[in-house]
Amino acid sequence: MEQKIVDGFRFLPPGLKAWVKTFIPDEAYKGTIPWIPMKKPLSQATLALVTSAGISLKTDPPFDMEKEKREPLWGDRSYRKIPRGTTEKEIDCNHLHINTNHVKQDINVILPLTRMAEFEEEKIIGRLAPTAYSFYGFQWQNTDFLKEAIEPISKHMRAEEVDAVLLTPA
Amino acid sequence: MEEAGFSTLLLSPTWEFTRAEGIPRIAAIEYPYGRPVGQIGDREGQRKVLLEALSVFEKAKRPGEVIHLPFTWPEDPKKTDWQPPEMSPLIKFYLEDIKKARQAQG
Repeated sequence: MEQKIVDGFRFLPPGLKAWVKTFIPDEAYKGTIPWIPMKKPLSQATLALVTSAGISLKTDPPFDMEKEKREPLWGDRSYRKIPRGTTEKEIDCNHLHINTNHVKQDINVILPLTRMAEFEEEKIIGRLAPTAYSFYGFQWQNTDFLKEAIEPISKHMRAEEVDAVLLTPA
Repeated sequence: MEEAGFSTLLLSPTWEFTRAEGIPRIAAIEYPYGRPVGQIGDREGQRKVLLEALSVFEKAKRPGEVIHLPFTWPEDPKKTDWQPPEMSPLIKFYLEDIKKARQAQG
Protein backbone atom coordinates (compact mmCIF):
# COMPACT_ATOMS: atom_id res chain seq x y z
CA MET A 1 0.00 0.00 0.00
CA GLU A 2 1.23 3.46 -0.83
CA GLN A 3 2.34 5.52 2.16
CA LYS A 4 -0.09 8.33 2.96
CA ILE A 5 1.39 11.82 3.11
CA VAL A 6 -0.71 13.91 5.46
CA ASP A 7 -2.06 17.22 4.17
CA GLY A 8 -2.05 19.45 7.24
CA PHE A 9 -3.83 22.19 5.30
CA ARG A 10 -6.79 20.04 4.25
CA PHE A 11 -9.18 21.49 6.81
CA LEU A 12 -8.18 25.14 6.38
CA PRO A 13 -10.30 27.51 4.27
CA PRO A 14 -8.37 28.68 1.13
CA GLY A 15 -7.60 32.19 2.44
CA LEU A 16 -6.12 30.92 5.68
CA LYS A 17 -4.16 28.26 3.84
CA ALA A 18 -2.64 30.83 1.48
CA TRP A 19 -1.81 33.14 4.39
CA VAL A 20 -0.21 30.46 6.56
CA LYS A 21 1.91 29.33 3.61
CA THR A 22 3.41 32.82 3.40
CA PHE A 23 5.28 32.27 6.68
CA ILE A 24 5.77 28.51 6.99
CA PRO A 25 9.05 27.34 5.43
CA ASP A 26 8.61 24.45 3.00
CA GLU A 27 11.55 22.52 4.39
CA ALA A 28 12.70 20.69 7.50
CA TYR A 29 14.00 22.57 10.55
CA LYS A 30 17.65 23.55 10.19
CA GLY A 31 18.70 24.00 13.82
CA THR A 32 19.62 21.45 16.45
CA ILE A 33 16.65 19.46 17.71
CA PRO A 34 16.83 18.10 21.28
CA TRP A 35 16.64 14.32 21.50
CA ILE A 36 16.18 11.97 24.43
CA PRO A 37 16.13 8.35 23.21
CA MET A 38 13.48 6.11 24.76
CA LYS A 39 15.15 4.56 27.79
CA LYS A 40 12.78 1.62 28.05
CA PRO A 41 10.09 -0.05 25.98
CA LEU A 42 6.73 1.71 26.01
CA SER A 43 5.24 -1.26 27.86
CA GLN A 44 7.46 -0.36 30.82
CA ALA A 45 7.46 3.42 30.50
CA THR A 46 5.46 6.03 32.41
CA LEU A 47 3.57 8.23 29.95
CA ALA A 48 2.21 11.70 30.61
CA LEU A 49 -0.30 13.54 28.45
CA VAL A 50 -0.05 17.23 27.59
CA THR A 51 -2.51 19.21 25.49
CA SER A 52 -2.75 22.80 24.34
CA ALA A 53 -6.55 22.64 24.13
CA GLY A 54 -7.25 25.10 26.97
CA ILE A 55 -8.86 22.46 29.19
CA SER A 56 -9.34 23.37 32.86
CA LEU A 57 -11.13 21.66 35.72
CA LYS A 58 -14.43 23.30 36.57
CA THR A 59 -12.97 23.80 40.06
CA ASP A 60 -10.03 25.83 38.64
CA PRO A 61 -10.07 29.27 37.00
CA PRO A 62 -10.66 29.05 33.23
CA PHE A 63 -8.07 30.28 30.74
CA ASP A 64 -8.31 34.02 30.05
CA MET A 65 -10.12 34.64 26.76
CA GLU A 66 -11.20 38.20 27.47
CA LYS A 67 -7.69 39.67 27.44
CA GLU A 68 -6.96 37.92 24.15
CA LYS A 69 -10.09 39.47 22.64
CA ARG A 70 -8.66 42.87 23.60
CA GLU A 71 -5.07 42.00 22.63
CA PRO A 72 -5.17 39.62 19.63
CA LEU A 73 -1.46 38.75 19.78
CA TRP A 74 -1.60 37.77 23.44
CA GLY A 75 -2.34 34.23 24.68
CA ASP A 76 -2.80 33.04 28.28
CA ARG A 77 0.55 31.56 29.39
CA SER A 78 -0.68 29.67 32.45
CA TYR A 79 -1.28 25.91 32.67
CA ARG A 80 -3.62 23.55 34.54
CA LYS A 81 -3.06 20.13 36.06
CA ILE A 82 -5.66 17.57 35.02
CA PRO A 83 -5.67 14.40 37.20
CA ARG A 84 -5.95 11.04 35.42
CA GLY A 85 -9.51 9.78 35.48
CA THR A 86 -10.93 13.23 34.73
CA THR A 87 -13.95 13.07 32.42
CA GLU A 88 -15.62 15.61 30.14
CA LYS A 89 -18.22 16.24 32.85
CA GLU A 90 -15.55 17.77 35.09
CA ILE A 91 -13.90 20.11 32.60
CA ASP A 92 -14.28 23.43 30.94
CA CYS A 93 -12.56 24.12 27.61
CA ASN A 94 -11.74 27.59 26.35
CA HIS A 95 -10.05 28.22 23.05
CA LEU A 96 -10.74 31.01 20.55
CA HIS A 97 -9.20 29.17 17.59
CA ILE A 98 -11.23 25.93 17.56
CA ASN A 99 -14.75 24.74 18.26
CA THR A 100 -14.48 23.48 21.86
CA ASN A 101 -17.83 21.64 21.83
CA HIS A 102 -16.24 18.40 20.64
CA VAL A 103 -13.83 18.27 23.61
CA LYS A 104 -16.65 19.07 26.03
CA GLN A 105 -18.56 16.05 24.71
CA ASP A 106 -15.60 13.62 24.78
CA ILE A 107 -12.33 14.63 26.43
CA ASN A 108 -10.59 11.74 24.63
CA VAL A 109 -10.71 13.47 21.24
CA ILE A 110 -7.75 15.55 22.40
CA LEU A 111 -6.77 14.43 25.92
CA PRO A 112 -7.17 10.64 25.77
CA LEU A 113 -7.12 9.86 29.50
CA THR A 114 -9.68 7.04 29.28
CA ARG A 115 -7.94 5.39 26.31
CA MET A 116 -4.54 5.55 28.07
CA ALA A 117 -5.98 4.04 31.24
CA GLU A 118 -7.17 1.14 29.03
CA PHE A 119 -3.68 0.84 27.51
CA GLU A 120 -2.18 0.74 31.01
CA GLU A 121 -4.62 -2.03 31.99
CA GLU A 122 -3.67 -3.93 28.81
CA LYS A 123 0.07 -3.38 29.47
CA ILE A 124 0.54 -1.50 26.18
CA ILE A 125 2.10 1.28 28.25
CA GLY A 126 3.81 0.75 31.60
CA ARG A 127 1.87 3.40 33.49
CA LEU A 128 -0.20 6.50 32.86
CA ALA A 129 1.18 9.34 35.01
CA PRO A 130 -1.14 10.56 37.79
CA THR A 131 -1.24 14.05 36.25
CA ALA A 132 -1.87 15.40 32.76
CA TYR A 133 -1.37 19.04 31.80
CA SER A 134 -3.23 21.53 29.70
CA PHE A 135 -2.08 24.89 28.55
CA TYR A 136 -3.49 27.32 26.05
CA GLY A 137 -2.28 26.65 22.54
CA PHE A 138 -2.08 30.12 21.21
CA GLN A 139 1.39 31.37 22.15
CA TRP A 140 2.24 33.94 19.53
CA GLN A 141 4.57 35.80 21.89
CA ASN A 142 5.94 32.92 23.89
CA THR A 143 9.22 34.10 25.37
CA ASP A 144 8.04 33.74 28.98
CA PHE A 145 5.93 30.65 28.36
CA LEU A 146 8.82 28.21 28.76
CA LYS A 147 9.69 29.60 32.18
CA GLU A 148 6.14 30.08 33.42
CA ALA A 149 4.62 26.80 32.24
CA ILE A 150 7.06 24.26 30.81
CA GLU A 151 9.59 24.47 33.67
CA PRO A 152 7.08 23.77 36.46
CA ILE A 153 5.34 21.09 34.39
CA SER A 154 8.70 19.36 33.80
CA LYS A 155 9.51 19.49 37.51
CA HIS A 156 6.18 17.89 38.39
CA MET A 157 6.71 15.22 35.73
CA ARG A 158 10.11 14.34 37.17
CA ALA A 159 8.48 13.92 40.60
CA GLU A 160 6.00 11.50 39.00
CA GLU A 161 8.87 9.63 37.26
CA VAL A 162 7.60 10.30 33.75
CA ASP A 163 9.65 8.83 30.88
CA ALA A 164 7.67 9.84 27.81
CA VAL A 165 5.22 12.59 26.92
CA LEU A 166 2.45 12.57 24.30
CA LEU A 167 1.50 16.09 23.24
CA THR A 168 -1.77 16.81 21.49
CA PRO A 169 -2.06 20.33 20.08
CA ALA A 170 -5.44 21.90 19.42
CA MET B 1 10.33 19.44 27.26
CA GLU B 2 12.73 17.07 25.53
CA GLU B 3 15.52 19.29 26.88
CA ALA B 4 14.12 18.68 30.36
CA GLY B 5 14.86 14.96 29.89
CA PHE B 6 11.66 13.41 28.51
CA SER B 7 11.12 11.60 25.22
CA THR B 8 8.34 13.57 23.57
CA LEU B 9 5.97 12.90 20.70
CA LEU B 10 3.59 15.34 19.06
CA LEU B 11 0.38 14.00 17.51
CA SER B 12 0.05 16.84 15.04
CA PRO B 13 -2.75 17.80 12.65
CA THR B 14 -0.39 20.46 11.22
CA TRP B 15 2.97 18.77 10.73
CA GLU B 16 4.04 21.38 8.17
CA PHE B 17 3.90 24.09 10.88
CA THR B 18 5.21 22.01 13.73
CA ARG B 19 8.27 20.63 11.96
CA ALA B 20 9.35 24.22 11.37
CA GLU B 21 9.70 24.59 15.15
CA GLY B 22 12.20 21.75 15.63
CA ILE B 23 9.98 19.12 17.28
CA PRO B 24 11.81 15.84 18.09
CA ARG B 25 9.12 13.32 16.99
CA ILE B 26 5.94 14.01 15.03
CA ALA B 27 3.10 11.64 14.26
CA ALA B 28 1.26 13.52 11.50
CA ILE B 29 -2.49 13.01 11.32
CA GLU B 30 -4.98 14.34 8.76
CA TYR B 31 -7.76 15.03 11.24
CA PRO B 32 -9.53 18.35 11.92
CA TYR B 33 -8.01 20.74 14.46
CA GLY B 34 -9.18 20.07 17.99
CA ARG B 35 -9.77 16.32 17.47
CA PRO B 36 -6.37 14.76 16.68
CA VAL B 37 -7.30 11.47 18.39
CA GLY B 38 -10.58 10.94 16.55
CA GLN B 39 -14.32 11.31 16.60
CA ILE B 40 -16.50 11.80 19.66
CA GLY B 41 -17.36 8.49 21.33
CA ASP B 42 -15.42 6.42 18.75
CA ARG B 43 -13.46 4.27 21.19
CA GLU B 44 -12.14 1.85 18.55
CA GLY B 45 -11.08 4.61 16.15
CA GLN B 46 -9.36 6.55 18.94
CA ARG B 47 -7.51 3.40 20.04
CA LYS B 48 -6.23 2.72 16.51
CA VAL B 49 -4.90 6.27 16.15
CA LEU B 50 -3.23 6.19 19.57
CA LEU B 51 -1.62 2.78 18.98
CA GLU B 52 -0.15 3.99 15.68
CA ALA B 53 0.94 7.25 17.27
CA LEU B 54 2.58 5.57 20.27
CA SER B 55 4.51 3.25 17.94
CA VAL B 56 6.35 6.37 16.72
CA PHE B 57 8.15 6.53 20.11
CA GLU B 58 9.93 3.34 19.08
CA LYS B 59 9.99 3.87 15.28
CA ALA B 60 11.49 7.38 15.22
CA LYS B 61 15.26 7.11 15.15
CA ARG B 62 16.45 10.64 14.49
CA PRO B 63 15.51 14.13 15.77
CA GLY B 64 12.85 15.85 13.69
CA GLU B 65 11.45 12.66 12.21
CA VAL B 66 7.89 12.94 10.88
CA ILE B 67 5.86 9.74 10.53
CA HIS B 68 2.58 10.03 8.63
CA LEU B 69 -0.34 8.09 10.08
CA PRO B 70 -2.53 6.33 7.52
CA PHE B 71 -5.96 7.52 8.72
CA THR B 72 -8.57 9.49 6.76
CA TRP B 73 -11.28 11.57 8.44
CA PRO B 74 -14.68 10.33 7.25
CA GLU B 75 -16.35 13.73 6.71
CA ASP B 76 -15.83 16.38 4.05
CA PRO B 77 -13.53 19.12 5.47
CA LYS B 78 -16.33 21.71 5.19
CA LYS B 79 -18.60 19.58 7.36
CA THR B 80 -16.16 19.00 10.21
CA ASP B 81 -17.30 22.05 12.20
CA TRP B 82 -13.86 22.56 13.74
CA GLN B 83 -13.84 26.35 13.56
CA PRO B 84 -14.80 28.50 16.54
CA PRO B 85 -18.29 30.04 16.49
CA GLU B 86 -16.70 33.49 16.25
CA MET B 87 -13.66 34.45 14.15
CA SER B 88 -10.55 34.37 16.37
CA PRO B 89 -9.00 37.70 17.44
CA LEU B 90 -5.81 36.84 15.52
CA ILE B 91 -7.67 36.21 12.27
CA LYS B 92 -9.64 39.43 12.69
CA PHE B 93 -6.35 41.25 13.32
CA TYR B 94 -4.74 39.85 10.16
CA LEU B 95 -7.86 39.70 7.98
CA GLU B 96 -6.51 42.12 5.35
CA ASP B 97 -3.25 40.13 5.05
CA ILE B 98 -5.25 36.92 4.72
CA LYS B 99 -7.39 38.42 1.93
CA LYS B 100 -4.23 39.62 0.16
CA ALA B 101 -2.61 36.19 0.42
CA ARG B 102 -5.75 34.63 -1.06
CA GLN B 103 -5.80 37.11 -3.96
CA ALA B 104 -2.07 36.69 -4.60
CA GLN B 105 -2.62 33.00 -4.99
CA GLY B 106 -5.33 33.63 -7.59
